[in-house]
Amino acid sequence: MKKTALCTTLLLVLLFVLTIVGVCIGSVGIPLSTVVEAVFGTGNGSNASQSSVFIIRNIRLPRVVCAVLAGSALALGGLVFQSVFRNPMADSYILGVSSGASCLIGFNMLLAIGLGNTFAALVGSLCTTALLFSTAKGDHNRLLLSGIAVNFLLSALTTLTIYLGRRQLDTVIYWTMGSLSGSSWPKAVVLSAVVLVSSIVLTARASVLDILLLDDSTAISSGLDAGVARMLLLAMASALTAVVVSFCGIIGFVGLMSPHFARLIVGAKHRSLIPTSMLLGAVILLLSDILARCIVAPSELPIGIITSILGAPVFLVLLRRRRNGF
Amino acid sequence: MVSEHSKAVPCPSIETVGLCGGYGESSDGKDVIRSITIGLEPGSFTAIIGPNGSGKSTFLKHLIRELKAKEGRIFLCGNDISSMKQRDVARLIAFEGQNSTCSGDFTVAQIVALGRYAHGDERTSSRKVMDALEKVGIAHLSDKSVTRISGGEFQLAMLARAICQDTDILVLDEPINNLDPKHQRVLMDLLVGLYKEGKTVVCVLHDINAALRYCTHCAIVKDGRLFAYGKAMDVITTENLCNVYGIEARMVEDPVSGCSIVVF
Repeated sequence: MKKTALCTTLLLVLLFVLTIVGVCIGSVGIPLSTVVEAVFGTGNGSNASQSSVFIIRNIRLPRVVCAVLAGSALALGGLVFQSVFRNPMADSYILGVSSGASCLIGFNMLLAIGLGNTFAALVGSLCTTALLFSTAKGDHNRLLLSGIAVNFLLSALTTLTIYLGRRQLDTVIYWTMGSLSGSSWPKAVVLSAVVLVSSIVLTARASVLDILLLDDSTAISSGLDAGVARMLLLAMASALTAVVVSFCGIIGFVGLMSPHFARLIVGAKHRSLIPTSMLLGAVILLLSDILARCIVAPSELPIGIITSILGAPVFLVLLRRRRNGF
Repeated sequence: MVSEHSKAVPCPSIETVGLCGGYGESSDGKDVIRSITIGLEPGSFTAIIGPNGSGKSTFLKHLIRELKAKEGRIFLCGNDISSMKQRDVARLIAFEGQNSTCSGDFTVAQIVALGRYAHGDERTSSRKVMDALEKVGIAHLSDKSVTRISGGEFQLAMLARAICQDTDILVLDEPINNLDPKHQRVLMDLLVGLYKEGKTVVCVLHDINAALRYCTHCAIVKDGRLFAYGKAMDVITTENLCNVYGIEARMVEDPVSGCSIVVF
């Protein structure tokens, strides 16, 4: 317990520090005193100060808040995918669920179907998850192979939308490579609602996720309606993925890395894993966003590039070490 | 839970009536288990024996409602399980499977505590967890990761999980298959102790001599049908074994214990 409490405290401190750094750093450097002024509403009212306050309140802060919430959502989604599929390498990005969401967004924009992007993403991610669930049938290897195949197909379809609608090329690239540049307070509100509800529900039913790590016969004989539980949990994970993809595009590997690192810290029990994974997801995504803004400043990289560079080696290490599932 | 079986005599712990079922539609149109009607007395220790593929494990999967009966009904302590919630079923019957697995890096105590899920007190039942671990003799492993214990120890941990579920009925599928002779004896003695406490114990066994030595009753399953059921000594006969397994069997007397032993 001491180790868990210590790690949680350290992560919270790290998240706080990164939040301040994330607000201060960008194409325009803003001193900490102005940040305090913007947050607490004090200040001398000079023009320079006013423009900094505007940047902080309307651009930097919503972006940092969105990064924290999107990172938490991706980590939560990844944790659910891993537990339900009993596969430590399951993640919305690797399984193609994110591609399913972006693919439907691509077609929605190209064909002007008129669905909201979030709704289109939800339909795409739910359909992809259902396809994977019906194909995998509990087989780890079949799940990964199906995910790879589905990912290829949906990525190709997304690319097709790029070719067919050249005028919207930038927009589609934004969604397929991920960016937090479109963050806003309304998006932060939606993200916070989704993350809050999901985390409360999942924490309350954490033992369901624990039991799903047992074989089907044992899970069912323990009193769990495993089929129904799996469907509901996958729908929740798909919804989390869809909201993040529709607001920030595809951001890979956060959902893979965060639960894995969290297990190293707090063990396998989901009651501890859920908050720790969310904290780690928030830290990883916020750090990646800061790097994406700094590396080629004043321009910025798509955040998916940073998370993939960080996450792909973790995936390879997991593949090498995979002995007993988690 | 409403008792649907009101009888003058105590109702059986497990009763199936014309039970048919299997895994989806079979290629030959036949169910894996066919019209099994049986009633197991409370406080009995029943072995289910029969050739591979005869439907023993499938029968057990129907009892825990992993598989739904295509025809027939199943009563646990007088309650029709088709109208029960899965949690209520799990408060009556606990199960340990032959291929139990765990994909998480839980400690042994954490795995055992999952047995309390149906009761909703998995976080506040550390005493019950330790009791179950002590019962199966692995209390010293409570803080060890399940990924770092042997296959036999894992099997005992899963049995402790089933015991921790604290049900009247305990069902086990080939529980001694992966155990060395010493642990086989420990486990069978433990099951004897449980049925003597009043629990109804049912286990699928391939070791006919274990069935003969430890069990009060025996059910023989052949081709998905109940071939014979009764007191173990009455049912495990050379004639029945020859009929079911298709090979010659002899009954000899152990020169030390004086008990009957089956030799194939």
